[in-house]
Amino acid sequence: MNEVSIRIASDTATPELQRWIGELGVARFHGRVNDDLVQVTMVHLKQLGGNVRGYPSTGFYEKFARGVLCIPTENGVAVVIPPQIIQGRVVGLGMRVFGGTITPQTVKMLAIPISPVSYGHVPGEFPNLFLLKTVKGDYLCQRGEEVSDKTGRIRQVGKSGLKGNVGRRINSNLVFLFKLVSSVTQDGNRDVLPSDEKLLQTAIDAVGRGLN
Amino acid sequence: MGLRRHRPPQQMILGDSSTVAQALQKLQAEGKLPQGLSCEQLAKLSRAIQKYSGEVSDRIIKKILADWKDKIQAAQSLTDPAAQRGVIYDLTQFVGNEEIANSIRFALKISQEVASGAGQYLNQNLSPEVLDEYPALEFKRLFDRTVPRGLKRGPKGALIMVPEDNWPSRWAAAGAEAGDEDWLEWEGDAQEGRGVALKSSGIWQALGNGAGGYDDTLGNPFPPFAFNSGFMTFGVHRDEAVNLGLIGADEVAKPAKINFAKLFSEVAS
Repeated sequence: MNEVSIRIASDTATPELQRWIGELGVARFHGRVNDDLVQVTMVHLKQLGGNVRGYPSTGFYEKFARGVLCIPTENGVAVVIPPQIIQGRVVGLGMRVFGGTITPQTVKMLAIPISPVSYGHVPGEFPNLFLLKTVKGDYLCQRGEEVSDKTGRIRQVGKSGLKGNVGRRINSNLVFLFKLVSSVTQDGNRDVLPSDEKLLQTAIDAVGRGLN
Repeated sequence: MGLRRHRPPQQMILGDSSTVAQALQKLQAEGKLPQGLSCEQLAKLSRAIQKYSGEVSDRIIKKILADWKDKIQAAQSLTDPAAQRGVIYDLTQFVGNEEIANSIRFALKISQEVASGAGQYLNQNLSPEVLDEYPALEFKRLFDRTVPRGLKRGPKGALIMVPEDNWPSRWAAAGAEAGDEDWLEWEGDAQEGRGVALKSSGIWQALGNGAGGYDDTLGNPFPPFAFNSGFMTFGVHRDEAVNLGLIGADEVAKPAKINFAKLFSEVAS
């Protein structure tokens, strides 16, 4: 499910499009619609933008937008959105589009970011995380203060030299960064991809323009 | 509440440790290595990545790690404390736990973008039919950036224009080095405008090479031409290319001169 393909082929196209694919042949049809379909898909992915919680964008959809291709197939063309490597893992858009259940592959639990600080990051990037078990679930937390090895006095983590997100952690004594879960079920969202109508209309416009 | 941290001079650190690696570990443990990468360090890294146009990410990461290990090994063989301090200083500018992680993350991001760009570049050029229908490309912004090229942060976070660094300036400089007339002057403003050229024009490689003296480019004849760039290329249909005077109505479109060896293999070490 890593790679998503949107097929503009004779079995789903309008009769007008079918006729053009028949008249032009797949290679010429592909030539005529290639760049327009790629552009429409890239612009659509770019517009998806931020996340539902309003956390800082990680550029998730930009990664996929940069890789969009259009390739000829037996009966038409396919817009392909190849998978990308995110946090060291191969990630495709298939889960976003079709939904499904994500389970841990190489570890026992999934760490779900629950803070703007941890969003787009993995637990390994945060030093001195500890596990906090509550009735609402298990969390990976970080202390906002620590005891100095030298003096035994309490000092704030990140007080000297740390900037940005790391520095923000000093504002709280205990920061909940990740929730540990055994699996996550994600709903599918067809709107991640351009609609069939949009793609078909783009293809029809591109072909029609060449016939003018 | 926070304690004032004592920061001993580097001579003392060296005196306490028998090797540079131990000194570095001590620095890391005490949190005295710089966090994050400066613009200069990012530029250094991007220049290093220029050598790997189209190369996949794991090789770049291995190269960064190997460079780091080589530097430590070289420093360990030094006997002159002053030379050792110099090497430590260099290392602290570039490495450290967080720095390596940032470097790898950055290299991975850039190399993925370059690999994706290479795929689109081939998609735009290899098919004779695609080339015939879309003989030219337009270069324009797709992805927004907090501080786009051509602007920089000024006092109180205000954005200040830096016209000599924006894409129209780079486009003009690249056109001067392109060696052909297959490109047009920049249309519109720096952020919303566009540059148009035939796919076969040398302007694309010149743009990626940093023609005009720009050292943040990646060496590709396709986007991203420079690190963290939000500009992309899109096909320009033959009708529009003809209207713009870039190509004749019946003229055969030429593809870019693709250097496959450079696109898919390590260019230099």
